[in-house]
Amino acid sequence: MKKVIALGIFQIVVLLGWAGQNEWIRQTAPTFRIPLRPRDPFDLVRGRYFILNPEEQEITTTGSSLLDDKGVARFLDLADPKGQPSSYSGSALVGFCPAGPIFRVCALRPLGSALSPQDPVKYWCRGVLSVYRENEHYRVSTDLRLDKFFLPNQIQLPGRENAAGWELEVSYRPGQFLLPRRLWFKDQPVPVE
Amino acid sequence: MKSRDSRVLERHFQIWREKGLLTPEAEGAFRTASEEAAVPKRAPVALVALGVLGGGLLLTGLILIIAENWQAIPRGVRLAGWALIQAGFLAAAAYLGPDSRNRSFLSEIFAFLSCGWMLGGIALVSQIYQLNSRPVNGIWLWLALVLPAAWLLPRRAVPTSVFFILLTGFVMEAADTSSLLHAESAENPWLWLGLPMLAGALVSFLPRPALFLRGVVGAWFFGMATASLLFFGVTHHFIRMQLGGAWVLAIAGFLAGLLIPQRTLPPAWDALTSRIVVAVPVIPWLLVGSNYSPEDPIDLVAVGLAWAVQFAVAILIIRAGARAEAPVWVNLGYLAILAGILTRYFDFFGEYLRGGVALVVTGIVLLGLLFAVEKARRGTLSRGIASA
Repeated sequence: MKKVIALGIFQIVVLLGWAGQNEWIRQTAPTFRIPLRPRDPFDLVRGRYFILNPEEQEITTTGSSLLDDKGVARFLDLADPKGQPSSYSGSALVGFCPAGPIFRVCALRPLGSALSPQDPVKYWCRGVLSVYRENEHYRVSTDLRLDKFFLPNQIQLPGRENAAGWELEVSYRPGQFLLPRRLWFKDQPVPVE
Repeated sequence: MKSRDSRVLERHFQIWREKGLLTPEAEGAFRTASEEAAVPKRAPVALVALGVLGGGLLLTGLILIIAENWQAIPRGVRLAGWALIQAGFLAAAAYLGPDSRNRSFLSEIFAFLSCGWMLGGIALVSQIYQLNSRPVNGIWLWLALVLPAAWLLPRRAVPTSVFFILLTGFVMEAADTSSLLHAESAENPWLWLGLPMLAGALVSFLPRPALFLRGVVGAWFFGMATASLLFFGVTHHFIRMQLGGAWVLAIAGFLAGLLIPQRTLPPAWDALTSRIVVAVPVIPWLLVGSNYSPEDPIDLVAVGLAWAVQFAVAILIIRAGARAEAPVWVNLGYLAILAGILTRYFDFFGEYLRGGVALVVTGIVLLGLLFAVEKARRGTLSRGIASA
Protein backbone atom coordinates (compact mmCIF):
# COMPACT_ATOMS: atom_id res chain seq x y z
CA MET A 1 0.00 0.00 0.00
CA LYS A 2 2.89 2.37 0.71
CA LYS A 3 4.07 2.02 -2.85
CA VAL A 4 0.66 2.95 -4.19
CA ILE A 5 0.51 5.96 -1.88
CA ALA A 6 3.92 7.02 -3.17
CA LEU A 7 2.69 6.58 -6.75
CA GLY A 8 -0.41 8.65 -6.07
CA ILE A 9 1.60 11.42 -4.45
CA PHE A 10 4.03 11.49 -7.38
CA GLN A 11 1.32 11.67 -10.03
CA ILE A 12 -0.80 14.23 -8.22
CA VAL A 13 2.12 16.44 -7.18
CA VAL A 14 3.56 16.50 -10.72
CA LEU A 15 0.26 17.34 -12.36
CA LEU A 16 -0.82 19.90 -9.78
CA GLY A 17 2.68 21.35 -9.79
CA TRP A 18 2.44 21.82 -13.56
CA ALA A 19 -0.95 23.46 -13.06
CA GLY A 20 0.49 25.60 -10.27
CA GLN A 21 3.33 26.82 -12.48
CA ASN A 22 0.85 27.91 -15.13
CA GLU A 23 -1.35 29.52 -12.48
CA TRP A 24 1.67 31.48 -11.24
CA ILE A 25 2.35 32.69 -14.77
CA ARG A 26 -1.29 33.64 -15.18
CA GLN A 27 -1.28 35.63 -11.95
CA THR A 28 2.09 37.34 -12.27
CA ALA A 29 3.09 37.63 -15.95
CA PRO A 30 2.39 40.90 -17.75
CA THR A 31 -0.21 40.66 -20.47
CA PHE A 32 -1.08 42.46 -23.68
CA ARG A 33 -3.59 42.00 -26.49
CA ILE A 34 -3.04 41.07 -30.10
CA PRO A 35 -5.63 41.14 -32.90
CA LEU A 36 -7.15 37.93 -34.28
CA ARG A 37 -9.03 36.59 -37.29
CA PRO A 38 -10.45 33.52 -35.56
CA ARG A 39 -12.45 30.49 -36.71
CA ASP A 40 -14.79 28.53 -34.43
CA PRO A 41 -15.02 24.86 -35.37
CA PHE A 42 -16.22 21.92 -33.30
CA ASP A 43 -14.17 18.79 -32.95
CA LEU A 44 -15.81 15.59 -31.76
CA VAL A 45 -12.73 14.60 -29.77
CA ARG A 46 -11.38 17.96 -28.59
CA GLY A 47 -14.71 19.72 -28.22
CA ARG A 48 -15.29 23.35 -29.07
CA TYR A 49 -12.37 25.67 -29.63
CA PHE A 50 -11.29 28.80 -31.45
CA ILE A 51 -8.66 28.59 -34.13
CA LEU A 52 -6.98 31.80 -33.10
CA ASN A 53 -5.31 32.79 -36.37
CA PRO A 54 -3.50 35.94 -35.17
CA GLU A 55 -3.89 38.76 -37.64
CA GLU A 56 -0.13 39.18 -38.03
CA GLN A 57 0.61 35.56 -38.85
CA GLU A 58 1.43 36.82 -42.33
CA ILE A 59 3.03 40.27 -42.60
CA THR A 60 3.95 42.09 -45.76
CA THR A 61 6.16 45.07 -45.14
CA THR A 62 4.21 47.13 -47.65
CA GLY A 63 1.07 47.06 -45.61
CA SER A 64 -0.03 48.86 -42.52
CA SER A 65 2.19 46.75 -40.27
CA LEU A 66 4.66 48.35 -37.89
CA LEU A 67 7.36 46.05 -39.25
CA ASP A 68 9.09 47.69 -42.21
CA ASP A 69 11.73 46.74 -44.76
CA LYS A 70 14.53 48.30 -42.71
CA GLY A 71 13.58 46.29 -39.66
CA VAL A 72 13.53 43.04 -41.59
CA ALA A 73 16.80 43.82 -43.34
CA ARG A 74 18.42 44.62 -39.99
CA PHE A 75 17.19 41.28 -38.66
CA LEU A 76 18.57 39.38 -41.65
CA ASP A 77 21.97 41.09 -41.19
CA LEU A 78 22.04 40.15 -37.53
CA ALA A 79 20.97 36.58 -38.31
CA ASP A 80 23.73 36.11 -40.88
CA PRO A 81 26.38 38.83 -40.54
CA LYS A 82 28.84 37.24 -43.00
CA GLY A 83 26.42 36.68 -45.85
CA GLN A 84 23.79 38.81 -47.54
CA PRO A 85 20.73 36.78 -46.91
CA SER A 86 17.37 37.63 -48.36
CA SER A 87 15.52 34.93 -46.51
CA TYR A 88 15.40 33.23 -43.13
CA SER A 89 13.66 30.22 -41.64
CA GLY A 90 13.77 29.22 -38.00
CA SER A 91 13.25 30.39 -34.45
CA ALA A 92 13.72 34.04 -33.57
CA LEU A 93 12.48 36.74 -31.22
CA VAL A 94 9.43 38.72 -32.24
CA GLY A 95 9.01 42.21 -30.81
CA PHE A 96 5.65 43.78 -29.99
CA CYS A 97 5.00 47.52 -29.73
CA PRO A 98 1.83 49.28 -28.57
CA ALA A 99 -0.61 50.48 -31.23
CA GLY A 100 -3.49 51.86 -29.24
CA PRO A 101 -5.04 49.27 -26.90
CA ILE A 102 -3.40 46.38 -28.75
CA PHE A 103 0.17 45.38 -29.55
CA ARG A 104 1.51 44.61 -32.99
CA VAL A 105 4.65 43.05 -34.38
CA CYS A 106 7.20 45.79 -34.87
CA ALA A 107 10.63 44.14 -34.83
CA LEU A 108 12.52 40.90 -35.21
CA ARG A 109 15.70 39.78 -33.52
CA PRO A 110 17.79 36.58 -33.68
CA LEU A 111 17.79 34.38 -30.59
CA GLY A 112 20.57 35.26 -28.18
CA SER A 113 21.36 38.63 -29.75
CA ALA A 114 22.18 41.58 -27.48
CA LEU A 115 19.44 44.03 -26.61
CA SER A 116 20.01 47.73 -27.28
CA PRO A 117 19.36 50.08 -24.31
CA GLN A 118 17.36 52.33 -26.64
CA ASP A 119 15.18 49.48 -27.82
CA PRO A 120 11.64 50.82 -28.16
CA VAL A 121 10.16 47.33 -28.21
CA LYS A 122 8.32 46.54 -25.03
CA TYR A 123 7.90 42.78 -25.34
CA TRP A 124 10.17 40.23 -26.99
CA CYS A 125 8.73 36.74 -27.32
CA ARG A 126 9.78 33.63 -29.19
CA GLY A 127 8.39 32.66 -32.57
CA VAL A 128 9.16 30.54 -35.59
CA LEU A 129 9.69 32.72 -38.63
CA SER A 130 9.80 32.34 -42.34
CA VAL A 131 11.13 35.47 -44.06
CA TYR A 132 11.59 35.88 -47.78
CA ARG A 133 11.81 38.64 -50.29
CA GLU A 134 8.75 39.34 -52.39
CA ASN A 135 9.24 41.86 -55.17
CA GLU A 136 10.72 44.94 -53.50
CA HIS A 137 9.58 44.11 -50.01
CA TYR A 138 9.56 41.25 -47.49
CA ARG A 139 6.99 38.70 -46.50
CA VAL A 140 7.19 37.41 -42.94
CA SER A 141 5.30 34.40 -41.60
CA THR A 142 5.25 34.27 -37.80
CA ASP A 143 4.25 31.17 -35.89
CA LEU A 144 3.72 32.29 -32.31
CA ARG A 145 2.33 28.89 -31.26
CA LEU A 146 -1.06 30.49 -30.71
CA ASP A 147 -3.19 27.84 -32.38
CA LYS A 148 -6.33 27.09 -30.42
CA PHE A 149 -8.38 28.47 -27.56
CA PHE A 150 -10.63 26.02 -25.74
CA LEU A 151 -14.25 27.07 -25.29
CA PRO A 152 -16.84 25.38 -23.07
CA ASN A 153 -19.71 23.95 -25.08
CA GLN A 154 -22.31 26.12 -23.36
CA ILE A 155 -20.62 29.44 -23.93
CA GLN A 156 -22.46 32.07 -25.95
CA LEU A 157 -19.96 34.15 -27.85
CA PRO A 158 -20.67 37.91 -28.03
CA GLY A 159 -20.11 37.99 -31.76
CA ARG A 160 -19.56 35.84 -34.81
CA GLU A 161 -16.04 34.60 -35.28
CA ASN A 162 -15.70 36.34 -38.62
CA ALA A 163 -16.68 39.70 -37.11
CA ALA A 164 -14.01 42.34 -36.62
CA GLY A 165 -12.83 43.14 -33.11
CA TRP A 166 -11.57 39.80 -31.80
CA GLU A 167 -8.39 40.01 -29.73
CA LEU A 168 -6.37 37.66 -27.58
CA GLU A 169 -4.85 38.66 -24.28
CA VAL A 170 -1.58 36.81 -23.87
CA SER A 171 0.73 36.21 -20.94
CA TYR A 172 4.27 37.33 -21.64
CA ARG A 173 7.38 35.45 -20.60
CA PRO A 174 10.60 37.08 -21.86
CA GLY A 175 12.11 35.10 -24.70
CA GLN A 176 9.48 32.35 -24.60
CA PHE A 177 6.33 31.62 -26.56
CA LEU A 178 3.27 33.62 -25.62
CA LEU A 179 0.56 31.92 -23.56
CA PRO A 180 -3.12 32.54 -24.39
CA ARG A 181 -4.94 33.99 -21.44
CA ARG A 182 -8.25 35.54 -22.39
CA LEU A 183 -10.39 36.32 -25.39
CA TRP A 184 -11.59 39.88 -26.02
CA PHE A 185 -14.27 41.13 -28.36
CA LYS A 186 -14.62 44.82 -29.08
CA ASP A 187 -12.59 45.82 -26.03
CA GLN A 188 -14.60 43.60 -23.69
CA PRO A 189 -13.24 40.38 -22.14
CA VAL A 190 -15.16 37.23 -23.02
CA PRO A 191 -15.97 35.29 -19.81
CA VAL A 192 -14.93 31.70 -20.45
CA GLU A 193 -14.45 30.61 -16.82
CA MET B 1 -12.61 -28.82 -22.59
CA LYS B 2 -9.21 -29.85 -21.29
CA SER B 3 -6.60 -27.23 -20.64
CA ARG B 4 -3.09 -27.51 -22.00
CA ASP B 5 -1.78 -28.53 -18.56
CA SER B 6 -4.40 -31.28 -18.30
CA ARG B 7 -3.39 -32.75 -21.66
CA VAL B 8 0.27 -32.81 -20.62
CA LEU B 9 -0.69 -34.45 -17.34
CA GLU B 10 -2.77 -37.08 -19.15
CA ARG B 11 0.16 -38.08 -21.32
CA HIS B 12 2.42 -38.44 -18.32
CA PHE B 13 -0.19 -40.43 -16.38
CA GLN B 14 -0.47 -42.84 -19.32
CA ILE B 15 3.28 -43.38 -19.44
CA TRP B 16 3.49 -43.92 -15.65
CA ARG B 17 0.55 -46.39 -15.73
CA GLU B 18 2.16 -48.40 -18.50
CA LYS B 19 5.41 -48.58 -16.55
CA GLY B 20 3.58 -49.59 -13.38
CA LEU B 21 4.69 -46.49 -11.54
CA LEU B 22 1.17 -45.22 -10.87
CA THR B 23 -1.56 -46.99 -8.96
CA PRO B 24 -5.23 -46.10 -9.47
CA GLU B 25 -5.41 -44.67 -5.95
CA ALA B 26 -2.36 -42.48 -6.49
CA GLU B 27 -3.66 -41.30 -9.86
CA GLY B 28 -6.97 -40.35 -8.26
CA ALA B 29 -5.18 -38.42 -5.52
CA PHE B 30 -3.03 -36.59 -8.08
CA ARG B 31 -6.06 -35.68 -10.15
CA THR B 32 -7.92 -34.35 -7.11
CA ALA B 33 -4.94 -32.31 -5.98
CA SER B 34 -4.47 -30.86 -9.49
CA GLU B 35 -8.08 -29.76 -9.86
CA GLU B 36 -7.43 -26.46 -8.12
CA ALA B 37 -4.52 -25.67 -10.42
CA ALA B 38 -6.63 -26.52 -13.43
CA VAL B 39 -9.12 -23.74 -12.65
CA PRO B 40 -8.35 -20.88 -15.01
CA LYS B 41 -7.06 -17.85 -13.11
CA ARG B 42 -7.98 -15.39 -15.80
CA ALA B 43 -11.38 -13.83 -15.83
CA PRO B 44 -13.59 -14.80 -18.74
CA VAL B 45 -13.25 -12.67 -21.84
CA ALA B 46 -16.83 -11.41 -21.52
CA LEU B 47 -16.17 -10.23 -17.97
CA VAL B 48 -13.05 -8.37 -19.03
CA ALA B 49 -14.82 -6.84 -22.01
CA LEU B 50 -17.70 -5.64 -19.85
CA GLY B 51 -15.24 -4.37 -17.28
CA VAL B 52 -13.37 -2.34 -19.90
CA LEU B 53 -16.68 -1.04 -21.27
CA GLY B 54 -17.86 -0.05 -17.81
CA GLY B 55 -14.55 1.61 -17.03
CA GLY B 56 -14.55 3.47 -20.31
CA LEU B 57 -18.07 4.72 -19.75
CA LEU B 58 -17.15 5.84 -16.23
CA LEU B 59 -14.15 7.81 -17.55
CA THR B 60 -16.14 9.35 -20.37
CA GLY B 61 -18.95 10.28 -18.02
CA LEU B 62 -16.60 11.99 -15.57
CA ILE B 63 -15.02 14.00 -18.38
CA LEU B 64 -18.44 15.00 -19.70
CA ILE B 65 -19.60 16.12 -16.25
CA ILE B 66 -16.65 18.49 -16.04
CA ALA B 67 -17.15 19.67 -19.62
CA GLU B 68 -20.87 20.32 -19.15
CA ASN B 69 -20.29 22.31 -15.96
CA TRP B 70 -17.04 23.95 -16.98
CA GLN B 71 -17.99 27.50 -16.14
CA ALA B 72 -19.77 26.54 -12.92
CA ILE B 73 -16.78 24.69 -11.46
CA PRO B 74 -13.85 26.91 -10.38
CA ARG B 75 -10.36 26.05 -11.62
CA GLY B 76 -9.13 24.89 -8.25
CA VAL B 77 -12.15 22.66 -7.71
CA ARG B 78 -11.65 20.99 -11.10
CA LEU B 79 -8.05 20.22 -10.28
CA ALA B 80 -8.82 19.09 -6.74
CA GLY B 81 -11.62 16.90 -8.07
CA TRP B 82 -9.26 15.30 -10.55
CA ALA B 83 -6.74 14.60 -7.76
CA LEU B 84 -9.35 13.07 -5.46
CA ILE B 85 -10.71 10.80 -8.18
CA GLN B 86 -7.20 9.72 -9.17
CA ALA B 87 -6.43 8.91 -5.54
CA GLY B 88 -9.68 6.95 -5.36
CA PHE B 89 -8.88 4.89 -8.47
CA LEU B 90 -5.40 4.08 -7.13
CA ALA B 91 -6.77 3.15 -3.73
CA ALA B 92 -9.39 0.87 -5.27
CA ALA B 93 -6.80 -0.78 -7.50
CA ALA B 94 -4.58 -1.41 -4.48
CA TYR B 95 -7.32 -2.47 -2.06
CA LEU B 96 -9.08 -4.86 -4.47
CA GLY B 97 -5.88 -6.85 -4.70
CA PRO B 98 -5.11 -9.82 -6.91
CA ASP B 99 -5.37 -12.19 -3.92
CA SER B 100 -9.12 -12.31 -4.15
CA ARG B 101 -9.95 -14.23 -7.29
CA ASN B 102 -13.40 -12.74 -7.53
CA ARG B 103 -12.22 -9.14 -7.33
CA SER B 104 -8.91 -9.28 -9.11
CA PHE B 105 -10.39 -8.19 -12.41
CA LEU B 106 -11.99 -5.19 -10.64
CA SER B 107 -8.55 -4.28 -9.38
CA GLU B 108 -7.28 -4.40 -12.95
CA ILE B 109 -10.16 -2.21 -14.12
CA PHE B 110 -9.41 0.44 -11.52
CA ALA B 111 -5.72 0.34 -12.39
CA PHE B 112 -6.75 0.87 -16.02
CA LEU B 113 -8.99 3.75 -14.97
CA SER B 114 -6.21 5.41 -13.01
CA CYS B 115 -3.97 5.27 -16.09
CA GLY B 116 -6.71 6.73 -18.29
CA TRP B 117 -7.64 9.40 -15.78
CA MET B 118 -4.01 10.55 -15.80
CA LEU B 119 -4.51 11.57 -19.44
CA GLY B 120 -7.69 13.30 -18.37
CA GLY B 121 -5.66 15.35 -15.91
CA ILE B 122 -3.17 16.36 -18.58
CA ALA B 123 -6.01 17.42 -20.86
CA LEU B 124 -7.65 19.28 -17.98
CA VAL B 125 -4.55 21.38 -17.23
CA SER B 126 -4.01 22.02 -20.95
CA GLN B 127 -7.54 23.27 -21.38
CA ILE B 128 -7.68 25.34 -18.18
CA TYR B 129 -4.50 27.21 -19.06
CA GLN B 130 -4.99 27.12 -22.86
CA LEU B 131 -1.66 25.41 -23.42
CA ASN B 132 -0.75 24.93 -27.05
CA SER B 133 1.93 22.39 -27.73
CA ARG B 134 2.49 19.40 -29.95
CA PRO B 135 -0.27 16.95 -28.96
CA VAL B 136 2.27 14.12 -28.83
CA ASN B 137 4.06 15.99 -26.01
CA GLY B 138 1.00 15.25 -23.89
CA ILE B 139 1.32 11.55 -24.71
CA TRP B 140 4.96 11.48 -23.59
CA LEU B 141 4.02 13.30 -20.39
CA TRP B 142 1.30 10.70 -19.91
CA LEU B 143 3.90 7.96 -20.30
CA ALA B 144 6.23 9.63 -17.79
CA LEU B 145 3.46 9.79 -15.20
CA VAL B 146 2.12 6.25 -15.75
CA LEU B 147 5.49 4.49 -16.03
CA PRO B 148 6.29 4.51 -12.28
CA ALA B 149 3.10 2.52 -11.74
CA ALA B 150 4.77 -0.41 -13.48
CA TRP B 151 6.98 -0.74 -10.40
CA LEU B 152 4.61 0.52 -7.72
CA LEU B 153 1.23 -0.94 -8.77
CA PRO B 154 1.52 -4.63 -9.71
CA ARG B 155 -1.39 -4.97 -12.12
CA ARG B 156 -1.45 -6.17 -15.73
CA ALA B 157 -3.50 -3.11 -16.67
CA VAL B 158 -0.42 -0.92 -16.19
CA PRO B 159 1.92 -2.53 -18.78
CA THR B 160 -1.11 -2.83 -21.05
CA SER B 161 -1.68 0.90 -20.71
CA VAL B 162 2.03 1.59 -21.25
CA PHE B 163 1.89 -0.47 -24.46
CA PHE B 164 -1.06 1.53 -25.68
CA ILE B 165 0.61 4.84 -24.74
CA LEU B 166 3.85 3.92 -26.51
CA LEU B 167 2.00 2.84 -29.63
CA THR B 168 -0.04 6.04 -29.64
CA GLY B 169 3.09 8.14 -29.15
CA PHE B 170 4.95 6.43 -31.99
CA VAL B 171 2.00 6.80 -34.35
CA MET B 172 1.58 10.48 -33.48
CA GLU B 173 5.29 11.18 -33.91
CA ALA B 174 5.16 9.54 -37.32
CA ALA B 175 2.11 11.63 -38.21
CA ASP B 176 3.48 14.96 -36.91
CA THR B 177 5.04 16.94 -39.75
CA SER B 178 7.29 18.82 -37.33
CA SER B 179 8.70 15.62 -35.81
CA LEU B 180 12.12 14.18 -36.63
CA LEU B 181 10.33 10.81 -36.82
CA HIS B 182 7.74 12.01 -39.31
CA ALA B 183 6.70 9.41 -41.89
CA GLU B 184 6.33 10.76 -45.40
CA SER B 185 3.81 8.06 -46.10
CA ALA B 186 1.98 5.36 -44.15
CA GLU B 187 0.93 3.53 -47.32
CA ASN B 188 3.37 0.73 -46.70
CA PRO B 189 3.65 -2.15 -44.20
CA TRP B 190 6.82 -1.07 -42.40
CA LEU B 191 5.20 1.05 -39.73
CA TRP B 192 2.13 -1.15 -39.39
CA LEU B 193 4.39 -4.10 -38.54
CA GLY B 194 7.30 -2.39 -36.81
CA LEU B 195 5.58 -0.09 -34.34
CA PRO B 196 3.63 -2.76 -32.38
CA MET B 197 6.77 -4.89 -32.15
CA LEU B 198 8.75 -1.93 -30.85
CA ALA B 199 6.11 -1.09 -28.27
CA GLY B 200 5.81 -4.74 -27.23
CA ALA B 201 9.56 -5.13 -26.89
CA LEU B 202 9.88 -2.03 -24.72
CA VAL B 203 7.01 -3.11 -22.46
CA SER B 204 8.62 -6.53 -22.02
CA PHE B 205 11.37 -4.88 -19.98
CA LEU B 206 8.94 -3.71 -17.32
CA PRO B 207 9.07 -5.59 -14.01
CA ARG B 208 5.68 -7.26 -14.61
CA PRO B 209 5.02 -7.31 -18.33
CA ALA B 210 1.61 -8.46 -19.46
CA LEU B 211 2.55 -11.61 -21.34
CA PHE B 212 -0.70 -11.69 -23.30
CA LEU B 213 0.56 -8.60 -25.18
CA ARG B 214 3.05 -10.83 -26.98
CA GLY B 215 0.13 -12.80 -28.35
CA VAL B 216 -1.59 -9.57 -29.39
CA VAL B 217 1.55 -8.34 -31.15
CA GLY B 218 2.02 -11.71 -32.81
CA ALA B 219 -1.56 -11.89 -34.02
CA TRP B 220 -1.37 -8.33 -35.35
CA PHE B 221 1.96 -8.99 -37.08
CA PHE B 222 0.76 -12.21 -38.69
CA GLY B 223 -2.51 -10.64 -39.79
CA MET B 224 -0.93 -7.49 -41.21
CA ALA B 225 1.90 -9.39 -42.89
CA THR B 226 -0.61 -11.75 -44.51
CA ALA B 227 -2.85 -8.88 -45.61
CA SER B 228 0.12 -6.91 -46.97
CA LEU B 229 1.47 -9.89 -48.92
CA LEU B 230 -1.96 -10.66 -50.36
CA PHE B 231 -2.47 -7.01 -51.31
CA PHE B 232 1.02 -6.81 -52.79
CA GLY B 233 0.51 -10.07 -54.68
CA VAL B 234 -2.66 -8.72 -56.29
CA THR B 235 -1.78 -5.11 -56.95
CA HIS B 236 1.98 -5.66 -57.40
CA HIS B 237 2.92 -2.49 -55.61
CA PHE B 238 2.51 -0.33 -52.57
CA ILE B 239 1.67 3.22 -53.39
CA ARG B 240 4.47 4.89 -51.46
CA MET B 241 7.28 3.14 -49.65
CA GLN B 242 9.12 6.27 -48.43
CA LEU B 243 9.30 6.32 -44.65
CA GLY B 244 11.19 9.52 -43.99
CA GLY B 245 12.39 9.89 -40.41
CA ALA B 246 10.07 7.14 -39.23
CA TRP B 247 12.50 4.55 -40.56
CA VAL B 248 14.16 4.67 -37.14
CA LEU B 249 10.99 3.41 -35.48
CA ALA B 250 10.30 0.77 -38.12
CA ILE B 251 13.86 -0.59 -38.07
CA ALA B 252 13.89 -0.62 -34.25
CA GLY B 253 10.70 -2.64 -34.26
CA PHE B 254 12.01 -5.20 -36.75
CA LEU B 255 15.31 -5.48 -34.88
CA ALA B 256 13.38 -6.15 -31.69
CA GLY B 257 11.48 -8.94 -33.42
CA LEU B 258 14.67 -10.45 -34.84
CA LEU B 259 17.01 -10.07 -31.86
CA ILE B 260 14.67 -10.59 -28.90
CA PRO B 261 11.71 -12.59 -30.22
CA GLN B 262 11.21 -14.19 -26.82
CA ARG B 263 10.28 -10.75 -25.49
CA THR B 264 8.35 -9.46 -28.47
CA LEU B 265 6.47 -12.31 -30.09
CA PRO B 266 4.18 -15.09 -28.80
CA PRO B 267 5.70 -17.86 -26.67
CA ALA B 268 4.07 -20.42 -28.98
CA TRP B 269 6.45 -19.28 -31.75
CA ASP B 270 9.92 -20.63 -31.11
CA ALA B 271 12.84 -18.30 -31.73
CA LEU B 272 13.61 -19.60 -35.23
CA THR B 273 9.98 -19.45 -36.33
CA SER B 274 9.68 -15.93 -34.95
CA ARG B 275 12.73 -14.72 -36.85
CA ILE B 276 11.63 -16.29 -40.10
CA VAL B 277 8.10 -14.90 -39.74
CA VAL B 278 9.51 -11.40 -39.10
CA ALA B 279 12.17 -11.43 -41.82
CA VAL B 280 10.67 -13.34 -44.72
CA PRO B 281 7.52 -11.26 -45.43
CA VAL B 282 9.57 -8.12 -46.11
CA ILE B 283 11.72 -9.70 -48.83
CA PRO B 284 9.23 -9.11 -51.68
CA TRP B 285 8.90 -5.42 -50.74
CA LEU B 286 12.65 -5.03 -50.52
CA LEU B 287 13.07 -6.53 -53.99
CA VAL B 288 10.48 -4.24 -55.53
CA GLY B 289 11.69 -1.07 -53.82
CA SER B 290 9.61 2.04 -54.21
CA ASN B 291 8.31 1.39 -57.74
CA TYR B 292 7.05 -1.71 -59.48
CA SER B 293 7.98 -2.26 -63.11
CA PRO B 294 6.43 -5.15 -65.13
CA GLU B 295 9.56 -5.21 -67.33
CA ASP B 296 11.91 -5.74 -64.42
CA PRO B 297 12.44 -9.48 -63.82
CA ILE B 298 13.31 -8.87 -60.15
CA ASP B 299 9.94 -7.23 -59.62
CA LEU B 300 8.20 -10.19 -61.25
CA VAL B 301 10.11 -12.54 -58.96
CA ALA B 302 9.06 -10.39 -56.02
CA VAL B 303 5.38 -10.77 -56.87
CA GLY B 304 5.69 -14.54 -57.18
CA LEU B 305 7.70 -14.61 -53.99
CA ALA B 306 4.92 -12.75 -52.19
CA TRP B 307 2.49 -15.52 -53.06
CA ALA B 308 4.89 -18.22 -51.86
CA VAL B 309 5.95 -16.36 -48.73
CA GLN B 310 2.36 -15.85 -47.65
CA PHE B 311 1.74 -19.60 -47.70
CA ALA B 312 5.09 -20.40 -46.13
CA VAL B 313 4.51 -18.08 -43.20
CA ALA B 314 1.06 -19.54 -42.62
CA ILE B 315 2.47 -23.07 -42.58
CA LEU B 316 5.17 -21.99 -40.14
CA ILE B 317 2.54 -20.55 -37.82
CA ILE B 318 0.47 -23.74 -38.04
CA ARG B 319 3.53 -25.82 -37.26
CA ALA B 320 4.47 -23.62 -34.31
CA GLY B 321 0.91 -23.70 -32.98
CA ALA B 322 0.71 -27.49 -33.30
CA ARG B 323 4.04 -27.97 -31.50
CA ALA B 324 3.04 -25.63 -28.69
CA GLU B 325 -0.48 -27.06 -28.56
CA ALA B 326 -1.89 -23.59 -29.10
CA PRO B 327 -5.04 -24.01 -31.21
CA VAL B 328 -5.41 -20.30 -31.87
CA TRP B 329 -2.28 -20.20 -34.03
CA VAL B 330 -3.31 -23.34 -35.88
CA ASN B 331 -6.68 -21.76 -36.63
CA LEU B 332 -5.16 -18.45 -37.72
CA GLY B 333 -2.65 -20.24 -39.91
CA TYR B 334 -5.33 -22.21 -41.76
CA LEU B 335 -7.42 -19.07 -42.08
CA ALA B 336 -4.44 -17.39 -43.75
CA ILE B 337 -4.02 -20.35 -46.12
CA LEU B 338 -7.69 -20.17 -47.01
CA ALA B 339 -7.42 -16.43 -47.62
CA GLY B 340 -4.35 -16.95 -49.78
CA ILE B 341 -5.98 -19.63 -51.95
CA LEU B 342 -9.14 -17.60 -52.39
CA THR B 343 -7.16 -14.48 -53.28
CA ARG B 344 -5.11 -16.35 -55.88
CA TYR B 345 -8.25 -17.98 -57.30
CA PHE B 346 -10.07 -14.71 -57.78
CA ASP B 347 -6.89 -12.97 -58.90
CA PHE B 348 -6.33 -15.49 -61.70
CA PHE B 349 -9.88 -16.36 -62.67
CA GLY B 350 -11.83 -13.33 -61.54
CA GLU B 351 -12.17 -11.95 -65.05
CA TYR B 352 -13.64 -15.20 -66.34
CA LEU B 353 -16.32 -15.58 -63.66
CA ARG B 354 -19.28 -14.61 -65.77
CA GLY B 355 -22.43 -16.59 -66.15
CA GLY B 356 -24.12 -19.30 -64.16
CA VAL B 357 -21.67 -22.10 -64.99
CA ALA B 358 -18.71 -20.11 -63.72
CA LEU B 359 -20.50 -19.36 -60.49
CA VAL B 360 -21.44 -23.02 -60.00
CA VAL B 361 -17.85 -24.07 -60.56
CA THR B 362 -16.62 -21.39 -58.17
CA GLY B 363 -19.11 -22.47 -55.54
CA ILE B 364 -18.05 -26.12 -55.85
CA VAL B 365 -14.39 -25.15 -55.64
CA LEU B 366 -15.06 -22.99 -52.60
CA LEU B 367 -16.98 -25.70 -50.77
CA GLY B 368 -14.35 -28.29 -51.61
CA LEU B 369 -11.67 -25.93 -50.39
CA LEU B 370 -13.46 -25.26 -47.14
CA PHE B 371 -13.91 -28.99 -46.57
CA ALA B 372 -10.25 -29.72 -47.24
CA VAL B 373 -8.94 -26.90 -45.07
CA GLU B 374 -11.26 -27.75 -42.20
CA LYS B 375 -10.27 -31.42 -42.38
CA ALA B 376 -6.62 -30.49 -42.32
CA ARG B 377 -7.19 -28.10 -39.41
CA ARG B 378 -8.96 -30.69 -37.31
CA GLY B 379 -6.28 -33.22 -38.14
CA THR B 380 -3.58 -30.83 -37.03
CA LEU B 381 -5.36 -30.04 -33.79
CA SER B 382 -5.99 -33.67 -32.93
CA ARG B 383 -2.57 -34.97 -33.90
CA GLY B 384 -0.56 -32.15 -32.40
CA ILE B 385 3.15 -32.60 -32.98
CA ALA B 386 2.72 -35.64 -35.23
CA SER B 387 0.74 -33.59 -37.71
CA ALA B 388 3.29 -30.79 -37.70
